[in-house]
Amino acid sequence: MNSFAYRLLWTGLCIVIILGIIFDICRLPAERSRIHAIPFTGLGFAGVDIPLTSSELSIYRKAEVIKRYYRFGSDEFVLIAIDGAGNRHAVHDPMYCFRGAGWQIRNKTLVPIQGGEALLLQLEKDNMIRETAYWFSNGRQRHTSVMRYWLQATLRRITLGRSDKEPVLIMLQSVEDHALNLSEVLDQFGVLFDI
Amino acid sequence: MKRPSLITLLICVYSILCSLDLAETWLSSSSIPAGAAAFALWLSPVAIFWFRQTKSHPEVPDRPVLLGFALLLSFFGGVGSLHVLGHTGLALAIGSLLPPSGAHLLWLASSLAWMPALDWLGGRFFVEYTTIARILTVSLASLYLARTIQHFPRGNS
Repeated sequence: MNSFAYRLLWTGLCIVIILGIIFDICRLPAERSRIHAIPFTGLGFAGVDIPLTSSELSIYRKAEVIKRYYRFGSDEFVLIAIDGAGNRHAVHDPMYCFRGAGWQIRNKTLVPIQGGEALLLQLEKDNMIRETAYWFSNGRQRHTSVMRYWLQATLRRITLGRSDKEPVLIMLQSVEDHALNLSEVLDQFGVLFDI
Repeated sequence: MKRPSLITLLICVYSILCSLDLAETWLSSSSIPAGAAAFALWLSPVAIFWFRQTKSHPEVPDRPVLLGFALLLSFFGGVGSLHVLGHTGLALAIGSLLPPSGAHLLWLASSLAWMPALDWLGGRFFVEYTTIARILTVSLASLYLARTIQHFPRGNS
């Protein structure tokens, strides 16, 4: 190795070690996630928290999570919102998780929503049918790409929070075999677009 | 025996430290045996190469470009909390312990097979065959590189 490359690598190593220490000291302050702004009750709807299972708790760890059952009129659904600011690795690719849990994806449709799009999935396992919709949101833009989520979350950490808000994963799931009436849910539950 | 330079070893250690999540993943997920076995298989050409060096004193070229990228990716993987970057950095750092060749490039690319990222990729495209794909890819690439290593100059004892 010539001496220039040698010196460059030594300098680079010293810099990344120093920067690593600085990043650790200047770590993003823990602030209460905006997902907690989702209300339990509102005009025509009411919700109740569903306790997380031990395996969910071990996956989410420091991430902030809401898992809530909502009913409005004859419609009902489960809302899961995950903010990975405290543990980025708690936010997995939902498609990967569903397949890993043994669900077959029968159908998937991109649905335009305010600020972007959601992915509506029809899942099947052991003669059970479920519908679920999800998207990632930074409060302004909504998308369904896990790679874009990784990019946003990584950039946010590298820039110490200056690039954007932490994107959160919003997931709506049907209860039992009832279809998920996504457009109606979104019409009546506009608070989801505030986060 | 010619040893890797100190900076090469230090960058390898830095990359390992930035990829400690691998151990946790392999110890806690269902894909432990395949991921860890693939990593061990992938490392085998490095072990073979340096074992052969114990009886000779050849010039082993340093790989500053690989080391530079290894450093950058490990750093950004760590501060950006994106494991796949750190794992790629680790692969490049370990890859810098071998001399350049076509087989080496192929073997470096096959490092994806021991990364947990393959679970995600396999879950999308070949969910039933992830373990087979993982072991087969690493085995073939490592075997090819190990055979190529036999022809590397050993220098004088």
